[in-house]
Amino acid sequence: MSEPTTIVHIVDDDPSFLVAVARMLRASGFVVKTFASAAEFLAQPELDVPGCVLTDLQMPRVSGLDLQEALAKAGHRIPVVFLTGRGDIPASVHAMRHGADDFLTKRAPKQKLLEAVNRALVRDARERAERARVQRLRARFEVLTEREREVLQHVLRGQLNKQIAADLGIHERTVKLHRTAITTKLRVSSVAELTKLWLESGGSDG
Amino acid sequence: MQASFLLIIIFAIDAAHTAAKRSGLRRPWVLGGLTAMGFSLVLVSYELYARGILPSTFSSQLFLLLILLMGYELSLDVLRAGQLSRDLLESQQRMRLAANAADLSLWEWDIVRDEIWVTEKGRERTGIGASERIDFARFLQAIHPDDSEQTQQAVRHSLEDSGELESEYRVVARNGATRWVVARGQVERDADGKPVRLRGVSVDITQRKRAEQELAQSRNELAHIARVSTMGELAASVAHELNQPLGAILRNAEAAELFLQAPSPDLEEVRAILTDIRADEARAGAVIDRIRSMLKLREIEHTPLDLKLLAGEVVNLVRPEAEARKIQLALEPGSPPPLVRGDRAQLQQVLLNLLLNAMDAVNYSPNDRRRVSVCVRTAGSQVEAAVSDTGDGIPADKVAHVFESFFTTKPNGLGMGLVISRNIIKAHGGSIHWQNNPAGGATFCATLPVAEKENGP
Repeated sequence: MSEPTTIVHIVDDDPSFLVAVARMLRASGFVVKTFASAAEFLAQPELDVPGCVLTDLQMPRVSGLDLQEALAKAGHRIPVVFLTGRGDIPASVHAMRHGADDFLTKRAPKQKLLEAVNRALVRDARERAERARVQRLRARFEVLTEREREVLQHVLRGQLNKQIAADLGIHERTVKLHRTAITTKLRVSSVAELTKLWLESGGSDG
Repeated sequence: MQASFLLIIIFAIDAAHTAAKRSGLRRPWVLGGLTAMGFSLVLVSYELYARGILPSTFSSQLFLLLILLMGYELSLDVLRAGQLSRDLLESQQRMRLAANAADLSLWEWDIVRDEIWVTEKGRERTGIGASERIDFARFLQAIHPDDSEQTQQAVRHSLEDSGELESEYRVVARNGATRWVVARGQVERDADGKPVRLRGVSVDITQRKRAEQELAQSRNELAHIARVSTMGELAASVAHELNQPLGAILRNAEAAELFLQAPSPDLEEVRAILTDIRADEARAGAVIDRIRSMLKLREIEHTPLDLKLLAGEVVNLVRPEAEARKIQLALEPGSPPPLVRGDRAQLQQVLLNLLLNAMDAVNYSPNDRRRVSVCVRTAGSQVEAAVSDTGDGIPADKVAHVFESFFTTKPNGLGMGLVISRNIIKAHGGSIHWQNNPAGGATFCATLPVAEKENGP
């Protein structure tokens, strides 16, 4: 399976700006897809692709902020870069404190725009890698049996075998066997390592 | 015996006289006179009897007659008292009815005993219990803290000086609602001129106060809208409409540069880009043309105008805002200037603009240096309206730019107000000039020619 292509999704209701910015980004080496409205973008069958969104802030019906909100609600954590034709940037920036990745005017210098897009793509790649890693770590825990997971919870709480045996109503020797199975399956050698692995996988419950 | 009778007669007459003087009624005279007459008759009959002229003294018959007469007089009195008390009750009821209908509460402050009597309505209004004793201190407690000092002053003034009380204040009613009340009263003094009683009525004026506040607010909004709608909105929409095609032109130019850097440039693509750039340039040009036609002054409606009256209207318009910003705003007095000819709305806009600029100029001045004054006067064949402020004036390095578009000294200014104002005045055949005042601040002066008489010079 080859790495999926990184795509810059451009959303703008102004056709001439849409075409122009797509041309420039394409000429700069990016793969772009253009959309005339937020609705058109959201209607795509596959949204979870590597890349970023470059969207106009002021659009009729669904604005750039609405688009960002819709993406967040659907669980897509793709970075969003906003472009605005208005001059009142300080006010808009203030309004966007809640999570815009970048914010530029439509007449920002090319360098600024390319930097912003690159930053967004790097962030997306990093976050994707991180999500994939956590996913892999979680998968490791999945090989444990129900009982082993139960024992694991007690071990993570720092309990001694005797206590665990009493709590679960099983023999202390059985607890030892479970512990051995857990460390073998997870390929860890100490409780410290086990705890670290658990935390990195974002685990909090059994 | 005779001497003592004489004394009684004299005493009765004196008593009747005194009583009549005090009450001005007929009754003391009737009673006193009858008593005196009765005793005189007894005295005379005794004398006659003593001399053997009369067979007996008739004294018992005389006294009976006297008592009958006195009884009649007194019964009249009782009847009259009954009538009076009925009248009093009725008049009290009428008064209460009228007071309730007019939403009045009646009150009376016995200053000597420091006790306040007030109708139920007044107690309800001030949140004071129905049987609670009220003295002046308790009354003050019922008043909104912000109005307490000013009410005390009004009362003090009425007691010491005018004898008349008028004070507006807020009270908190039993149901927790804050109401505005006006109290009007009159001081009653004793023979030495010492105030003994303050009596009056209170009326709920919440409705009126609310209307006043709404009016002030709508004036503020009007002044705000006049400015924001013409300047701010315009600027923002201009920026948006121009940035769109300009942004497209920029991106297209950047793309073309990148295409041309390629080893074998795609000239077809570059040609398409150039076509798009032309289209966007036309779009930007259309936006500018539209704005220009928007800013172009519409046909001026020439009507004869009193610039001073107009200035007064605008001053009143911004007064609430000036007060809120603790700026002293004054229209200098003087004789009415000759009329000018012009467009009322446009000239109002100019005056409003100059006033708001002046008010912004003193915004950061200390409280005693926050003054804006407007002076309308005749200068030869011209009428000039001068707006002076006590701010910092125009700094020397900015002097050349005052009338330039987008020049501003304010953090949120757009620099269009004076440009538009000058255009309006120019179109009226006048001019705007300005100077820094020797004592600080600046004066902006709009000058317009005096209107020619309809029937020629």
